[in-house]
Amino acid sequence: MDLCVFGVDDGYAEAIIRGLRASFLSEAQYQQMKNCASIPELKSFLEETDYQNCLQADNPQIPTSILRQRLKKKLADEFEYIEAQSTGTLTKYLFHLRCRFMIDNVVNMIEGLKNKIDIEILLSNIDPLGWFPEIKNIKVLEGDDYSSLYRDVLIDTPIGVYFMKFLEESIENLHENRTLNDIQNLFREMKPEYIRTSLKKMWLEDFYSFCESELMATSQEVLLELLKFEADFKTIQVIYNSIGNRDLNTAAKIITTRKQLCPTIGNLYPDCEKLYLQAMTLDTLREAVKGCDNYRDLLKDAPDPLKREEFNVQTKTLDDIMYDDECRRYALAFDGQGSYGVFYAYLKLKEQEIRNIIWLAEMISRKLAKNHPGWKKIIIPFSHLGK
Amino acid sequence: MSLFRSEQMEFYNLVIPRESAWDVMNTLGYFDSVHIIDHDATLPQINRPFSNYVKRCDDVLQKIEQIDDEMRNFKIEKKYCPDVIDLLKKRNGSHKQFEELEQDICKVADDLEHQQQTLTSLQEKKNTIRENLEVLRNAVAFQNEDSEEASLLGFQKMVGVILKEDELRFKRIIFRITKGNIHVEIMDIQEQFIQQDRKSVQKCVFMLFYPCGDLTQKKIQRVIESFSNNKFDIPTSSEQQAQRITMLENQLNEADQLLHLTITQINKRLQDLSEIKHNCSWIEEMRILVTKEKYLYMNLNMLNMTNSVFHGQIWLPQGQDQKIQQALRNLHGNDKQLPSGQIQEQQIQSTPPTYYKLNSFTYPFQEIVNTYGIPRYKEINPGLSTIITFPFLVGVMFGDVGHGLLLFVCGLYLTTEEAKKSIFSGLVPMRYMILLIGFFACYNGLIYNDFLSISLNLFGSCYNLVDDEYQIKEDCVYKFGIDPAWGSSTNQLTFMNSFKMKLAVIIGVTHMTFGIILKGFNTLNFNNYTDFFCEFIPQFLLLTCSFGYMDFLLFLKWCTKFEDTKDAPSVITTMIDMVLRPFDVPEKPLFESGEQQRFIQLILLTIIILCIPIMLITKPLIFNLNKKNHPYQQIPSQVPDDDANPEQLQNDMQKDQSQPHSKVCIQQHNQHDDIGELIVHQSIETIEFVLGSVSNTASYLRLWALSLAHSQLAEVFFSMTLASHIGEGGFFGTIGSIVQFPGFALATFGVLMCMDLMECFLHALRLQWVEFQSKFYKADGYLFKAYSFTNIKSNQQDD
Repeated sequence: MDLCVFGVDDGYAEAIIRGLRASFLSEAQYQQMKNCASIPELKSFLEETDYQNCLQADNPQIPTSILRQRLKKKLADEFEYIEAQSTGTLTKYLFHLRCRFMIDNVVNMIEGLKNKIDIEILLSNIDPLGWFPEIKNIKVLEGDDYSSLYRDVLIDTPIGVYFMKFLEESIENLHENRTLNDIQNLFREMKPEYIRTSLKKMWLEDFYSFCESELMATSQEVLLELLKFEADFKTIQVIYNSIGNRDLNTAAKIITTRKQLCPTIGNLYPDCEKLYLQAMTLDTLREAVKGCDNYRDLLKDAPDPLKREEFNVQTKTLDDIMYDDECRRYALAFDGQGSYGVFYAYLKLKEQEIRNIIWLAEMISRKLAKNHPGWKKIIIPFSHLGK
Repeated sequence: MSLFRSEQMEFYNLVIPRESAWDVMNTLGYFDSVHIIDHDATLPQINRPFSNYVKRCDDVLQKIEQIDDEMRNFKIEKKYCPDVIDLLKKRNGSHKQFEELEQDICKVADDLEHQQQTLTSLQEKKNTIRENLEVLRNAVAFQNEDSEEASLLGFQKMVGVILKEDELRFKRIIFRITKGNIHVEIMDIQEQFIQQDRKSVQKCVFMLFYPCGDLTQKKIQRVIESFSNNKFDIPTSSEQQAQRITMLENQLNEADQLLHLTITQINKRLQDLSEIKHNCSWIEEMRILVTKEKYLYMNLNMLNMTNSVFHGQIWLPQGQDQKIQQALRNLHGNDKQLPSGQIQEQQIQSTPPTYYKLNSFTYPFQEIVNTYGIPRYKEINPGLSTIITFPFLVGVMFGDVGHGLLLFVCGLYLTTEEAKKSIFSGLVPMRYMILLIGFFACYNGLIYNDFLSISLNLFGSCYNLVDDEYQIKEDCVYKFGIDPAWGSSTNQLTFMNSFKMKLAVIIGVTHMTFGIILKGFNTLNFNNYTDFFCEFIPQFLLLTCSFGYMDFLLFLKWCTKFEDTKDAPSVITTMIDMVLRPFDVPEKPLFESGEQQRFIQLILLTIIILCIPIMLITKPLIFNLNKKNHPYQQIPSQVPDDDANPEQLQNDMQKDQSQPHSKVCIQQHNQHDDIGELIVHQSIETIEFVLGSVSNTASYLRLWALSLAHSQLAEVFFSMTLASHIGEGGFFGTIGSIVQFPGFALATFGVLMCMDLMECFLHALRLQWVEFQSKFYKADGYLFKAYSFTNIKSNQQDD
């Protein structure tokens, strides 16, 4: 039934996405990029690919930060075009997708302001996908007063909801007879990274429930699956990163923080919740998630977080492993017809591609030897399909 | 001969020393006859020797494009170059020329950019002054009213400028911060501001009044900063304010004048660029010269560079080599120091490209053929016969004197110079085809005697109308086409159908037989006697003995006079009986005696039946025998091995050179090593041909169907609109026909002249491609691509 009516509203947008699918760089092209000796060479190579138009005006010795900005701008333009072609549920859905980038932008701004970085630089570094007009007004932020930031600026924005929830939750967690001072202390100690993780968790849950309630069956089937995995990965990441974290010194604090940050969706929740919340070493974490799918295999190769200091460029971190696995899953989302999954997957895979290009650009600009293991650390979208 | 078979090609090695590479390529570009083979098509452009030159050309072209954009912004007219080759010859320089061009253009572009920057900074300055002025004016205006009181009450105020679109958001945030304890006044600025990106935006002045308090002031300050960057301070005394206003006004005037001056300067500079030299604007001239450089380097990149010598392989049409050698020898004139390029004839290694010298008349017809497939080298080109057969087939379907004449007139118009400038310029390349279609539609219309669905009595009908019955005159034959009396007879449709149907089959069989004969010529030309005897002869016999015989019967029946039409035998029945009951004596013979007819038909049937096994098995058998006779001889492969060692290849070439030139013979593709594959292939071809000869003949019936549809549509439109009024006559009839005429004209134009013509065109296209070309056409060649400066087009033609 879905397939009969999908094309009525969303056929065109899907067709565009499927057309854009052809713009992904192939493995051979990555190989050629690796052979580039300098940034100008890389740039002229990229000019022969789909990125041609967004780079033409720049001078050959383009800094990687500008390069990233250009690539992201292109993705944002494409996305904006698709958004403009969409109607009804799809528009809402695409807007939800953008919220993730908005959260990133807001948190980046807050972080930058805290570190006293000039607002112009911050504004030039924001992700164009997550741009909204209020973003420049974040400047109003005074000290660590997030609640007034929310009240004055973010309340109107799409991510205001998440921010409110976040504030409420963090205040609730304080002991009963809290004072204003306590709240201020709480905000002062709060790390932007923490804000980001909890906002994203809320966004993920919200997006999940949106998909569950409003989308058609085919889209649900694809998306819920993807989101479940994403939630699980988030959970594992949170647990993993909190193992041996010095800021969280007591066991009770670890568990409450974890509980706050772990999404309440996914395959792991609620069955394994108890286990993973208690996991204090990598082995116990492995044990905790063994019931689900291939998570155990994923964690098998992950380095021990307790030896974090020993990590270097060569280490295949948990993030890399997860990107790899996610890439495979997103590529599969292109298989089905008539689902919203492709929009999500396209965005994710393009992000990965941009990450790859930037990584290679970094490698090239540092003039690392060709046998350096870092060259292998890129994950090529759709490369899993051939195998 | 040039359109019948493709030009004889010769294969040459091109050797150019690096120093004179540019000169040689420059010389070759004026010949319209060099096909350069890319030495490695898989090599990316970036790894080729001149890729940086190509890149530079691209950069310069981009600069030119920028200048061009600017000219469009300033609405400056420019002249496109009418004759590219002429211009290039006039401006023929050396390879250093590009450097000069690059410098010139970069200088101009940089200057222009500089001026642009000045312009934007001036604009910026003007904007700031204006904002300042507006704020001040508004503040003063407000102050005069009732701010005295306000300041007495301990209110503070803040003034500034924000974008109009931010107004609501601004108000909201301010409201929230001060918890509503504020008064906001917004005043729009009428005139729009021009931004850096040349978009104009609306701005507005805001004025805030709020009770004193440091905390809120700081916060408000922050909010204002986040909305706009400019700060304004307002002098307190009214005297100072007035002074300030006059000062700002003066500044604004100055800025305006400067702005105007800069714009005039830019305008003048751009005017200079559009100045006409060498018959077109400077900027267009530059564009063409740089495009030529790019084209030259792109082609030079196709050659292989080793040790500062370029090696390349080229195809030349026969007879061009002398001219080119002469030109290369004279390249450096008196200066013998510099080495020139050389060409050496080589043994042909791969299939040569297909090259025809086309002109504007043959172009559209060859295009029809090329769309289906490029003819194989030296294969008979269907394009030649298409010139007549295609318009004729369209004409058979579109047969109507009136419509044909209209089309002919359209074609005539398209051949005039004016048409090139009109909106029909897209049809101009097709003009001769349209002209011919119009002519043949007219001709066929005369045969059908059909003028907008009315029969014309041009030569005097051979029938007399006596008591509502037609009586034929003695010994009278209507001079040309169908007698007009048929047009008004009751069985007109039956008669015309029968006639057109027979005509369609006759035309079809002739067309297909012609195709088969062309195949025969092809096999002879390629010395492929196996195919000549095993495919051409049986195919030809099969078609002529079956449907050719049917055509013969049709003519025979037309020539025979039957006393009673009921006695006339049906051709279809005769044909069916010939196959199903070959030994029975026909009941109604067309020949003088039934016995005779039976005998002839038996012979024909035997031939047909014999042909099938010949087509089916002889060819595989012969191949098999050949293979057994030469068990170790490998069949030479046509395509040279790409992976072959280049050195070995060169050795081979040298060896080949010493041998006398053997005649190039392109053998049929059917050289399969595997006998099984050959049998399958052959049986498929045979079945396809036998079944095809029936279905293709039937397919030609579309000639009848479309022509019937055309005449019926024309008749319906005529009878629905004009016929009754004309019949009525008199005053009301005249008025009626005048009123109805637009309907008739529109229907004739829209449905018949546009839709029906398109339909006829497409059906003729199908007959041409499927029914005709499948009989002989291999269509696996590739087109000759000349390296020629004529390929450089001035922008106008792209538009």
